[in-house]
Amino acid sequence: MVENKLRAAVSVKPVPVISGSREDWPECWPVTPAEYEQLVDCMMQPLVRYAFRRLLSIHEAEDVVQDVLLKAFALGARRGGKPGVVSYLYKMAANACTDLYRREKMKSDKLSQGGSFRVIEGSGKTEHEAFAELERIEKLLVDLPGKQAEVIRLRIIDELSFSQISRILKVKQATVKSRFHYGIERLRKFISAQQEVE
Amino acid sequence: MDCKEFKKYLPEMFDLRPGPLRNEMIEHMEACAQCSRIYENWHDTVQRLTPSTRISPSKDFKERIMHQSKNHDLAKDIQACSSFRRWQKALFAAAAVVLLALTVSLFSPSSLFREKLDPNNPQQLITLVSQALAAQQELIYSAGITHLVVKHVIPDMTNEQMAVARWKPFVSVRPDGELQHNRVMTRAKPGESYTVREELFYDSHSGRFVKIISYEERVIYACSYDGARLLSLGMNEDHSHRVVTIPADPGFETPVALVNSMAAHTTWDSLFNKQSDQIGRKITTIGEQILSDGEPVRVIKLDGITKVPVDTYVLMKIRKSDNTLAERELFVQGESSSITRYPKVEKKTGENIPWNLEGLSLIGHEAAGNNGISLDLDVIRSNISDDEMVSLSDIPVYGFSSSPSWCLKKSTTFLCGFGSLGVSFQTALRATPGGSHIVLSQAKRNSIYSRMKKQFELIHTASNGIKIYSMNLEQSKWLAKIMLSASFAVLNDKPGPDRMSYRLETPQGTWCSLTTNTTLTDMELFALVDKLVILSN
Repeated sequence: MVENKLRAAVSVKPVPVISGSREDWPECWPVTPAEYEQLVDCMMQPLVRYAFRRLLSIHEAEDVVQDVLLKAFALGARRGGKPGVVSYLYKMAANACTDLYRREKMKSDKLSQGGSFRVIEGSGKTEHEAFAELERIEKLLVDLPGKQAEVIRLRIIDELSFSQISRILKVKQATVKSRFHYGIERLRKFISAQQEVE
Repeated sequence: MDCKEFKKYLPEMFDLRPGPLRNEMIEHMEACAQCSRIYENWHDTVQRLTPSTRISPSKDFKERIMHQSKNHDLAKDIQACSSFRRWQKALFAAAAVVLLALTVSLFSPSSLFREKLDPNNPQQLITLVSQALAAQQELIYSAGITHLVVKHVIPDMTNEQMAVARWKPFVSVRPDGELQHNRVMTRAKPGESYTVREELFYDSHSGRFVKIISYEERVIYACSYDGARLLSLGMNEDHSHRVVTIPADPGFETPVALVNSMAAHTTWDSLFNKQSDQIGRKITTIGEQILSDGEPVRVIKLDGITKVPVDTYVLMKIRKSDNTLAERELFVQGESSSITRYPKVEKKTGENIPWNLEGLSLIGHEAAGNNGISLDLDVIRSNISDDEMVSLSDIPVYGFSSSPSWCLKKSTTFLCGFGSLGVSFQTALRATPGGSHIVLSQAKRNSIYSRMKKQFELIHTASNGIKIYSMNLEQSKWLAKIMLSASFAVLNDKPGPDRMSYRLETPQGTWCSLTTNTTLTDMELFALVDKLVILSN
């Protein structure tokens, strides 16, 4: 009904991103194999996107996420049933990406590559174009405070909801929305000023 | 909604899924050109930040992970983790010694050998017990056959009404690996006392188990998994000794909850980690005691739920020797109502274990009757369909014709009460955390509300004839907390501060309670009730 109304309102543009990760993330560490499979189902896509943003390589992102999810399997035996699995997985993924990035100084190497990659959605796009796109967005975010920029990345690039972001960052949803609010407002003013100069 | 509110809530328009405010915001935009322009500016900014490419993992990515997880050496990982922790502990200990030495030289030499956690401090004792139970939990799942015997003591009570209303829940397993919730009624009369024994053998390697609920070595109910089949033996009408055998479904796995339900850590976690912070129970240390088996214990008291007419509290008795839980004693109206004795975990060699339930004898008709023992199987079922609701119900039942747009999950749970309590249904609609979760509760026993009608205020009659009543705020919030907490398994969220509960009277004369996790506007509430349709013929 809301979307119909949106369409009906001529002056209102549609909300940009509706597709995204599944909302029903598990609350607790998996106990049974079925729960583990559900965790993998829910988390693999958002984690791969998150890791890709940091590593700029889909292969490395998949390797990191695979390791993270296998560690989650092992940790499930110890932590099974306890809450906090999502934020822990994101923390593990962030740490693994940082380690890999530092170890291999990947960013400069990867920018020199230009091979195509079949799993990127969007016709004719290559992996190189995908991270060129990320670089373009990063340039816009560079002057924002880190916390505001990270919420915007998680919401828009990683396609996560505010509630999912609040779970990852372990802050209230109101805080997430406030960071998003101030971040977008700041960028809007920056873009308007830039357009006036041009 | 005014312009100020619109600007405040603007991020709601850019959430992944529509929130409860989005309709109002769209309506405001349609009427306000200035806010519409602000939205367009935001929209353009967000568009600039939206990548034209989307990254997805390879098609076989999940398969790779699942395949590797199956071949993963879990034991090695746990060992590596433990060994790392031991090293970590040693390093921390060394660092702590240096720091302490430095501190001691400056301040107080007497504090050098003080223990880290003080068992006389209730908060620190809780930490000690949690650590001890976690270690015990690892032992349960380590190699070998675990043997647990939990003793449920039904003490002598003077209050007859309370004495005959006692029961013990236990779980068994269905062929598909799902849990089945059951209960043993233990209606001991005043002056009578006895013990029901719950015993489990569990082989973590093969998943085989035997669970036996018994009274004086006679079986009330037993079930097992012998590696291929599920077997069960229980009290029945004709007291015939029939072992029912069903082949396990392909891929059957013994649910961990079967074992966890008997381990003390589950009780501990539910009382101290999950509920106490929500219900605001008070914890006090009340001293030391020697148990009947000579075990010295520390005793802490956990107050019952506040604002409930029945006064309850729980005593947790913790072994001084290893900080594990020895007993949990529930007091109702000042009297001991039930005692659960938790064992120390034992490992067995595997001999003489009745995997096929051979050699077990059922409790006699007379013994069961004299002690008020009876068996109710399958008393809680989750995720039931509308058709199942109709077939299980003893009153006309209602369901939602469609789920609201923000609903992420809908689930109806069936609960079979005992005696006059009858059956009840809880339909829970889950929203995003902190959002507008809804719980609709229906039961025949709710007819009691018709006598309390004067205490409620009629606020609306919906198009389907359902009358919506409000109650006083304190009562509403109290009830809402209970309803939302009871549906925690579906909602996965704590009750919100703006929760509300309403009473609904249906044209069929039945009563329901409708609980919302946030305060809905009148229009939202009425629209929600309009969605209720009768399921029964």
